[in-house]
Amino acid sequence: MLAVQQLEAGYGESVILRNVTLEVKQGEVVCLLGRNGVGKTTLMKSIMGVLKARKGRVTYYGDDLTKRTPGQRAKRGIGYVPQGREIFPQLTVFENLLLGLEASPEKGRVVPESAIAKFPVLPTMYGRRGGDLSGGQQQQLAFARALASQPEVLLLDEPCEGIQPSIVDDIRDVIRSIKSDGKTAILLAEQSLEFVKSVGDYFYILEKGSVAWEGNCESLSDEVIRRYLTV
Amino acid sequence: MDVIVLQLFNGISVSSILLLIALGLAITFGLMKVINMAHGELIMIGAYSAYVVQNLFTSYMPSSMFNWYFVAAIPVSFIVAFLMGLLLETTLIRFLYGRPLDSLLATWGIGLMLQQLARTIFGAPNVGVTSPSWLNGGVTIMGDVVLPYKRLFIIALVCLCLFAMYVYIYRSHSGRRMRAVMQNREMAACLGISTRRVDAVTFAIGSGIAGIAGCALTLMGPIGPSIGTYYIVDAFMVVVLGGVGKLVGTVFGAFGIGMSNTLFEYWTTASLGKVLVFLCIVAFLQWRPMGLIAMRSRSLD
Repeated sequence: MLAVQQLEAGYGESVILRNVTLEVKQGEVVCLLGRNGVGKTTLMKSIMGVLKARKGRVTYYGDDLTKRTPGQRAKRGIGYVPQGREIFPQLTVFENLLLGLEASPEKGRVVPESAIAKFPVLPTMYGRRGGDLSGGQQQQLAFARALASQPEVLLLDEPCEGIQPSIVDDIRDVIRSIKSDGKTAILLAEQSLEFVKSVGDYFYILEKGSVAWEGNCESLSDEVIRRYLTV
Repeated sequence: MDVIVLQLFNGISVSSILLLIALGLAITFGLMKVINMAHGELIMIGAYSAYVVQNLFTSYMPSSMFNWYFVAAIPVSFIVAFLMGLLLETTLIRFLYGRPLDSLLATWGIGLMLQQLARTIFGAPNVGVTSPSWLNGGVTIMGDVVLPYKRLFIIALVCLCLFAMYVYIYRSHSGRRMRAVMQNREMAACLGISTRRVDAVTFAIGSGIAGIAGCALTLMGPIGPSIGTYYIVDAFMVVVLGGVGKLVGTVFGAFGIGMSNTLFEYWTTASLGKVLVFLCIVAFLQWRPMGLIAMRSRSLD
């Protein structure tokens, strides 16, 4: 459903991604692996449209999205949980959630139950400002905000970065439950191999801005890990 | 006792006028960070809109209706300045976001052009706007202290504008979008908000409020093409002193400057009072550069 073809992107003079091709199929959890600085976040940003592609295409159900704004992509059904959470600091938790509805097709004014039910801690702090939450709470809020518009593809950029183990487990459960619903595909950039093996279906390993290896998560061998992922 | 009450009232009145001229700037400069030197000219546009509405009422309406022209003039001033702001944003300001020096120069140039435009249309001399008769006179309290209706009306108008802005910014859907875009443009866009539209509407609303301020200023005296230049410095002072980005800060800033201005002028002379006020502001901003109300949060630290 979501496909990236021969994508090239970068910041200013420097080219970060070269000739990246990947595909996310319906209901799958596709993982992006790679050391720091290989272009995982850049790829996420180019798929979302925050960063313009220099070459190549991003397609969604066959439609070319390459020239579309991030807003139009969000309305097509792409949800985004960026690295660093990007919660609106001066808005309350509830307002942050309501903003997640901006992209939902029926312009609903009610945050769907399914988005909040996975994070029971959120309703207890609706009145607090987003910026006052801890990192883990912000991550859960960012997740719920992205789920509010009931996206068909969810881009998760290192959702477990700097999060305590119990919330990592919660996030794992959330990803599994999204997967078992079968409606939403996930593209997950992640450092933890153990996490990837526990939720992922397919993986791509990036190196120097290109796809260096890909395969099913079960086939992720120690040899591949040694070659591309160990420091 | 009379003197104290009178000075207090004068202080509140000056503060309310300062607040009215600064409210629009609190949006365009405070929220959007655009150094809009043409803000004064948007005030001027509002003032001339009131003048035009007055003339239309004199020419086309029965004289018994004349007193109500001012009620019509307030929304008209808002709309004219709103449209002007929209035009300004879509043709110029949108290319200058994040470039404070360029936008300062460009909007200053726009200000000069608008002043010249007003001179061409309405002539260089000041024009008078006749206040409606229901605003002449005043309430007498405590025997001999007179509180003019015009000043009371401006205080009420400020309260109304403030309330409307509060409801719009903090309670409405579009206000929520506005705050989201101003806090994190990129993320707001990723959630499906049209940042272009929010920018244009936000700037236009700030301009429209400047128009209302201009309309109210016609009660205080004659208006001319360069009326805006008298107020632009005060408006920036209020927003900077109050703390950029917070509506409450602007309110405190206006009252701080208005009250101290009145008091210093009472104790010394008009010009020395102004000097003292500016000295106080400079000293205060040395101590607290973020202004009276600074935004604090974990993610901003």
